[in-house]
Amino acid sequence: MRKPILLLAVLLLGIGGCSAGKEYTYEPSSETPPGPGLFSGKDGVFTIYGKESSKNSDEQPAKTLEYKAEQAQ
Amino acid sequence: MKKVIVAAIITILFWGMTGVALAGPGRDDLMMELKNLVERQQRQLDAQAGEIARLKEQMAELSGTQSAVSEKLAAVETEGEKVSVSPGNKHAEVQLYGHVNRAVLWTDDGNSSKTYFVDNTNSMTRMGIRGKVQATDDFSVGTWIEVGLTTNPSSAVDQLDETSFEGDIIKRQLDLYLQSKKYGKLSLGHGSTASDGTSEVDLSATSVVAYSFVDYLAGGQFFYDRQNNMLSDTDIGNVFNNMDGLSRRDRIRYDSPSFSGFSVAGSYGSNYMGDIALRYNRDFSGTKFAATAAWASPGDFIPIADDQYNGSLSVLLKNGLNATLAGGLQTMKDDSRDDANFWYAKLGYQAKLFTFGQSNFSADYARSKHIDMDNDTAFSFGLAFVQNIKEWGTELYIAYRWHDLDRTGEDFDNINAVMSGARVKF
Repeated sequence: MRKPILLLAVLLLGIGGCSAGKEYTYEPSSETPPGPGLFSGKDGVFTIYGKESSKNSDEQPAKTLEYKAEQAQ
Repeated sequence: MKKVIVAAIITILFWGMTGVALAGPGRDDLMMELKNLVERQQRQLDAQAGEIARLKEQMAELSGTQSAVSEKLAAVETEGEKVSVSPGNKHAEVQLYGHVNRAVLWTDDGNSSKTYFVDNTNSMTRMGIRGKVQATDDFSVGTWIEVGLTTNPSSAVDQLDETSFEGDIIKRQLDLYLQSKKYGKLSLGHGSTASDGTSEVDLSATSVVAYSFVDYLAGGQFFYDRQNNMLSDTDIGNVFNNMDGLSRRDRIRYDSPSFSGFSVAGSYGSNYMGDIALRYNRDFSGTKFAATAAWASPGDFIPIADDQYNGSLSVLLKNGLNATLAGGLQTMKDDSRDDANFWYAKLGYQAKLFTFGQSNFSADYARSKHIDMDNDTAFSFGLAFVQNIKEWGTELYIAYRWHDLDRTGEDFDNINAVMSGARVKF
C-alpha cells in the first residue's frame, strides 16, 4: 500500500516538473462553493468593508448619489 | 440769408399742411385707433406681469423641493453612517459568507426503515468571517473564523435516536496567517492540517452529497445482525474511513508558494501530531487535473495508528467526463493488528441540460478493510445527482448509497440510504 502512495508522490513531482498547462485554484466542493449567493449576489460574500464592495457587488447602485436622491424623493 | 428765409417758408408750409390734415374728417378715427393700440399694449403688459408672477411662484416651489431633497439626502447619509461599519485600516477587507445544507434522509437496515430530517454532513451548514490586511504588494495578514451550525447530522442520526443532536456549534476554523507571494503562507490556530483534504480531491462537482468520506451520508446507522435478529453495536462510521489526513487541529502550518502548480505543506500540532502533503493542480487546455499525497504521524489523535499514508487524484475533461481515485493506509501500533486501508473510485459526468445551471452525475465505489476489526471488509456503492441553480447559489441533490459489511463469524444486513436536499449559499 505504501508503494502506490509513493508512486503518486513521484508522479506528482514528475508532472510538477512539466511546465505545460496553467495555474488554477482547486476548490473542494464540500466547502462553501465559489460563485453567486442567494442574497450576496455575484460576489457570493457580504463584504463588510474593503475594496471588493465597490468593485464587484450587486449593491453598487446603492452607493451612488443618484440612487440616494431617488430614495429620498 | 437767403437760406434762412427759404427754411422759414418751408417750415411755415409744413405746419400749415399738418394743421389742415389734423383738422380734417379722419381725426376721430385716428384718435380711436391710437387709443385701441394703447389698450392692447396695456393688456399685454398685464398678461406678462401675471406670467412673471406665476414663474416666481414656481421658482419658490422648486426651491422648497430642493431644500426638502437636500434635507432627506442628509438624513440618508446620516443614517448610513449609523448602520455601516467603518474600517479602521483602509487596506483592510472583511467578508461574511456561509451556506445552509439541509436534507431528508431515508434508510433501510434490512429490518426496518426510517426517515430523518438532517444537516448534510458532507458539507455541513456553516458561516464564517474572513479578514485580510494587504500590508504591502507582497505581504498580507489575515484571520479566518468559521463555525458549523448543525442539528441532526446525517452522519450521526441512528435507528435509536432521530433527534439527539441538537444545537451543535462546531469550531472549524479559528485561524490567523501571514502570507507572502514569494515565501508562502504561515498559519497558526485551529484549522486544517497540511494533510486535511488529501483523500478528498474530487472534480466531479457532486461532493456536496458523495465523495470518498462515504460514511458522511448515513454513518450513524447500525448494521442489523441477522443471526441474533437485533441491531448490532457496529455502525457505518465504525467500518469506513477515508484516512483524510489529520483533519482540523490546533497546529502551526506552512504552505509553500505554487511552482508550476506544485506545492508542499507541513504542519505540527498538539499531542505530537505532524504531517507533510504534496499538492498539484493544473489546467491543460481545459482539462483540469488535481492530485495530492500525504504522510501523517497522528500522535495521540489516532491512538491505535502509527503512521498514515494517503492520497487522491481527479481529472475533469473538457467534455464533462471526470474520474477520481483515492486511497490510504494506516499502520497500527499494535503489531498483532492488520494495517487498515481503503480505496475509492468515482466516475462522473457534467452536463448542461438546463440554462440555469450545470447538471452533475456520478457513480462511486468504496472499500475499507480492517478499520474496526481485523478482517472487516466494508463495501459501498453510490449514485449521485446534483443540479446547480447558479443565480440562486443553490444546489439541489439526491443520492443513493448501499453499504455492506463482511465480518468473520457474523451476518449483517445491507443498509440502503437515500438522501435528498439542497445546499443554499447565502
